[in-house]
Amino acid sequence: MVWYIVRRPRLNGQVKVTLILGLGVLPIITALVGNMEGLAATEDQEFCGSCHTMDRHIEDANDPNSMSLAAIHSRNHKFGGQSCYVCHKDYGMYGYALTKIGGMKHVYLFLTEFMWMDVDEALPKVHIAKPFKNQNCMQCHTTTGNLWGDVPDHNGLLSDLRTGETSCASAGCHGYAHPFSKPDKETPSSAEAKALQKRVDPDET
Amino acid sequence: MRKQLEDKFEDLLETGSRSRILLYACILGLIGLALMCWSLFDQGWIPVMMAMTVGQGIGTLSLALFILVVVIDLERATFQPSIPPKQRKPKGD
Repeated sequence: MVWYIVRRPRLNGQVKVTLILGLGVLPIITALVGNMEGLAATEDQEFCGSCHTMDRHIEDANDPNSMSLAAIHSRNHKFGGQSCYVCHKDYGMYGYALTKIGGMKHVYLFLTEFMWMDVDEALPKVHIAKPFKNQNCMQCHTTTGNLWGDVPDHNGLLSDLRTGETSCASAGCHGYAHPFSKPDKETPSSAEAKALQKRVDPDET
Repeated sequence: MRKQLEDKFEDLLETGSRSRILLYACILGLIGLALMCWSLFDQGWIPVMMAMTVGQGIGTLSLALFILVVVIDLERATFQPSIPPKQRKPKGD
């Protein structure tokens, strides 16, 4: 293409073949590779954190001392650098496409509302678009294991938890995933952490 | 308005400015490629979004312009068979 712009050769068959490589084949390959790389990049924590309104969320998720649900799960290597995507993505047949459409809505809201706000101003206004689905938690915590079933609250609320009537990530249960963004800071209580430790290691008292 | 646009388009085809259209196509193609390549090196939301929307749109436009030039060329071309038909022998020889 640069060659054509500089030399401006006469348009014959050879020039057309050369140009179809530059204007057709090369951009199509680049677009395909770019789409694959770009879509893969949208699943990374760095991508979610590239909007400044998510700075605190990323800081908290990567804080080794934080006890928020986001931080606890981000420390798990199964989530790792993709913890935002793994927890927030839609599961199901059209989950990938629906997640991407939801992401476009985030971009729209960022460009129209949050772009010019600083983090402190934006934080109280940032909220999840739809209530967080328990089904996302149930991808790993199946609600059928003995350890899970031994918790009295789980048994009492089993049907509500499975249908989503009661949220796992709510005040009174496991607390909000990003508690710093909520007015009533709610994290898993120390009593719960101790109870969990006792179940895992019953000899230690 | 539509008539004016049609006239301009006809004029563009008639004046034989195919090389100018190709020049625009090449410039747009380079811009599109640059935007698409940017997202491969910097994977923040701006480069990725730009590559998947503006970059690919500009790239498609440049290819469309190239195809337009090829179509104009084909319309103007006069096709002649490379092997001339055999002369029929006159009867009675």
